[in-house]
Amino acid sequence: MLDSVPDALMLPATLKRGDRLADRVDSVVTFAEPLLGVDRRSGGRAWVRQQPHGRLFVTRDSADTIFFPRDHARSGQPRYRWETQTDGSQWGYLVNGATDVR
Amino acid sequence: MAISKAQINWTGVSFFPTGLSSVPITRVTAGMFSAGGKLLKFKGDTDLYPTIISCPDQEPNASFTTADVGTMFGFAPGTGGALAAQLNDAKAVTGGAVLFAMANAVFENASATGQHAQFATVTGTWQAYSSDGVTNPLSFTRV
Repeated sequence: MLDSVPDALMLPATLKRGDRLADRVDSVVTFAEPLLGVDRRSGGRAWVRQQPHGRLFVTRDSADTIFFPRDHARSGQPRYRWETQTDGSQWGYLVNGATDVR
Repeated sequence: MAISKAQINWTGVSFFPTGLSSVPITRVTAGMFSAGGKLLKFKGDTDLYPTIISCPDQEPNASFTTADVGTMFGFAPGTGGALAAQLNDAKAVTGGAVLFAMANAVFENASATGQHAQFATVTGTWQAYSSDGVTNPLSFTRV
């Protein structure tokens, strides 16, 4: 199990709480930002994307992608090495060469 | 004050053309982000109602209407970048606003309209693509 700060999270959509958009976003962000080491005072944010099959892909950059882009030599390969946690969430760590490729 | 159960007014609307400075879009009168889902229904044999509904197609898109015709017409159709906007809490309560970000947003069109003795408006539209074909280009966070 890796113990460093992850670069991405794949969370179950059931994590969302509340009946308003702001509440649901807040519930996910509040959970994700400490895990991702987000520093709001310096302008950092956790960005939440709805993915199929009830999953939420969360990263510190809204331009991050799950896989290497279609126009990249590694198209289709994951940009993260995923570690499944005991609560069912997944923590992602960027693989070599994935840092500036989206 | 508790967060209201409504959102009102867009602020901080900006388009970030790739490689260029951000362009603020002000005097906004309407805004829209859409997940762009499209459903495909199947019926066969003696089915009266659909027996399968699938969502094989999602094309996120956005549009903003503003009185600033000049700025919107300054974007050339096909210009790629990122689009961001903030939808505020109806009572401006802290924590009630939501930030939208659309990565890989491609400006589609500017359509202006004006009537006699009325303010002219222009609606700009964007479509978004996913660079890996899997990641949703539309994301959210809180302010």
